[in-house]
Amino acid sequence: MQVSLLGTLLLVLAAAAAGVMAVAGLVPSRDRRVHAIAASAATALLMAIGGAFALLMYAYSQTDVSLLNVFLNSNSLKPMVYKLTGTWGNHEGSLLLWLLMLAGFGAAMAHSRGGAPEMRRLALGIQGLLTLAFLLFAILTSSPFEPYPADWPTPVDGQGLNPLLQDIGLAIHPPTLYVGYVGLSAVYSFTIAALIRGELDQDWARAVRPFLLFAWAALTLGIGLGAFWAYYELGWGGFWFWDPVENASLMPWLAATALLHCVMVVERRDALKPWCAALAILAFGASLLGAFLVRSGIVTSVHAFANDPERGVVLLLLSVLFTGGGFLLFALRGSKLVKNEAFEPVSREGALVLNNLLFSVLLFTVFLGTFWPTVVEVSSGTRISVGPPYYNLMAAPLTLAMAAALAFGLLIPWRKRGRGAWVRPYQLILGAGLLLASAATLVLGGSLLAWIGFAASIIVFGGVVADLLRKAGLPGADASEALRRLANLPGRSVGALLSHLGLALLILGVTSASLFQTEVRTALRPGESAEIRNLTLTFVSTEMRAGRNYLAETDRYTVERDGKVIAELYPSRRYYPVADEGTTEVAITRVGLGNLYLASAGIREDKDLRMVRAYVHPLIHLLWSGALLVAIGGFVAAFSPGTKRQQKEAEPNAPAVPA
Amino acid sequence: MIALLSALLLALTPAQQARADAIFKDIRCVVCQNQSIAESDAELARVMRALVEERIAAGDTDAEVKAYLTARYGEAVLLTPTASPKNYVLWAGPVLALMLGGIWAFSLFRGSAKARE
Repeated sequence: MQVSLLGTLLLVLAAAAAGVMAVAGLVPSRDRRVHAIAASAATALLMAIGGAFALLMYAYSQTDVSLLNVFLNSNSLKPMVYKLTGTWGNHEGSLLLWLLMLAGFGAAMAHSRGGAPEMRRLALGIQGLLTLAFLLFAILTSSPFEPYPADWPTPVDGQGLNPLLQDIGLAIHPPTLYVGYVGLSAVYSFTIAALIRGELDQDWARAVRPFLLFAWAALTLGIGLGAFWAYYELGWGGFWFWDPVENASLMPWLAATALLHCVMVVERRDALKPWCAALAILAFGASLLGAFLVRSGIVTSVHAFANDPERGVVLLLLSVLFTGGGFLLFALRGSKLVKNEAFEPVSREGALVLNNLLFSVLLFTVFLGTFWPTVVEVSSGTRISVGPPYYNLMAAPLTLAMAAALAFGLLIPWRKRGRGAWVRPYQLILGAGLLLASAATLVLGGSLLAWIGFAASIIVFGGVVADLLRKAGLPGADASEALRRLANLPGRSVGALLSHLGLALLILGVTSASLFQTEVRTALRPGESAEIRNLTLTFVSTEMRAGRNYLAETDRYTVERDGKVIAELYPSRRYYPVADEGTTEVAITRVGLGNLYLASAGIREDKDLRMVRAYVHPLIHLLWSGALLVAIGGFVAAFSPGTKRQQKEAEPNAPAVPA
Repeated sequence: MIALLSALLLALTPAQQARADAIFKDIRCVVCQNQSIAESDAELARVMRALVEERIAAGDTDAEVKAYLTARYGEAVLLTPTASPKNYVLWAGPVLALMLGGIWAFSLFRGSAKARE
């Protein structure tokens, strides 16, 4: 009762702080003290929600079943780490985490530098309003501090947790995604503030940049972790299924990717401003959709662990309200942002427009594929599926075009044609990409999709190398001069470099692991073997093992290459008595830069027989490291200081570009 | 069940097996969430795989196999949506978006060219 009361009190205090923040942020006033009040309220808000979150986590660590939420979602037998991560493994707890992040970004906005004071105050007001809305929703319908009902029997222990959720990947993947989603709320708030003022300028770009890059990097990491989790935990042998919920996390990422390239244009040119504002609203709208689609029950998927239709629909409505409100304001004020500065198609800004066009089309495609089955079902009653073949077909040509635009954009300077110095290297990159991809596809016996993947990867890589050489002043500069130039590269250039390099690896990894996978499906008895590529897989024996809170039937397999055992694999089937549920654990071992992936299922009719699925996924570790590198690049750029004043003026690259 | 297992071990030529494997990837496992029958360990996925192999052994073309599965389990088993009128928007949408977007980008450049003169 005490914990319940204290928690509720903290939430109410937080709502009061959010209210003050919203009012002080949005009232028309020129007084600096009003700004200070909004900023202090943002800090108070963070402290109150932070306290509430810490309290809930403490209750989880103690398995304090006086809280209904803990009773329903935890159990004292769980390992401590999963007790703690269980805090956000349910609807109420994850909403509190969401609020904690909203408040965290609000406080960061209050204490960040850059941007006109008036815009920053308005942005704080919007952020306060957002936080207040979700806080009220939490307090009224989804409080994690609801006490255990007095008239229920005295609780002995909690009711456990879905065993599928007892996984470290799942414990960290949703919060990482949340950082990304909620980070985009700061971008949204700054953009709404800019729309209210009718001015979206370099100030806006400077204020938004670090939040956008940080959110984007976290989203990248979150999506990567999600794919990683699906691959290692779900056991179907793939990393991406274009599942509606995966798509829902991809959509804000696509919008944010387009936006961060668009912001680069706004930082330097008086162009694309209304487009940028629309993208910012869209990105946050897509985030809200991504976060709450899981709970709405509108789409079903493996991820719908927190499926709770009624409250989910309210959250979805709240999301629609904020997105719709943003677009309404955009419709009323967007025209004020239009500036018609001269715009050359053959220029870096031209390449960035192309980037935005391609990312938007891909975003639209994913949107269409995700919701079209719902449209068809509602209008005609027929259930249809839109699966990987559709998305792969649509995404592949777009990816190749993006790669070509990327290399082009890296080579060509801003504003003017750059005296054609870019033409030769660009032709070289495209030529090498198409030729090498053709050679690789022929030698390896790949499909058109494989060719596209190889070409895209090589072209991106070529663009990055050419950009690096140009920045080093090569060829021309001597070695020490080149090194000095590279050491002095601004953080954001380093970030872009890392991200684009990561992208090249990622594309190669995806192409290789999905299109060149080897699959063996067979039935084995103890002592029998199967061949996969140059490896021999032998089913040796089965034994029972007891885990912390589960029983596991574990199979032992050996992996041989050239007659030598290189690994032992232990796929298993776990049974969790508390939840009365089972999971299948695959076994994976690294072979070079690829993986050997083994799923071993028993069947009821024959205790000794195993239905074996084994895959070799070549170069899959390029995929993981590539995704990680993309995210690291984003974090590096987010934490590097913004461009200097002089760089904002014409010819930002002039000193570094040899004539 | 014994019949099922023997069906699983049905002898297909390597070419036929390759066709069956390709079809597996394009068929949704109807009791799983978002898995193809190539990837699922579910009982029903095994049955569906056996059905595909059976139809191929009986001499069906790929289209006939898919038509057979559609008749049995509904259109939702096809992971690639059909090109029927109700899906025109789905297939044409991205292309139209690319064209409209291209026109928008072009107008951006033309408009600015005018502004410069």
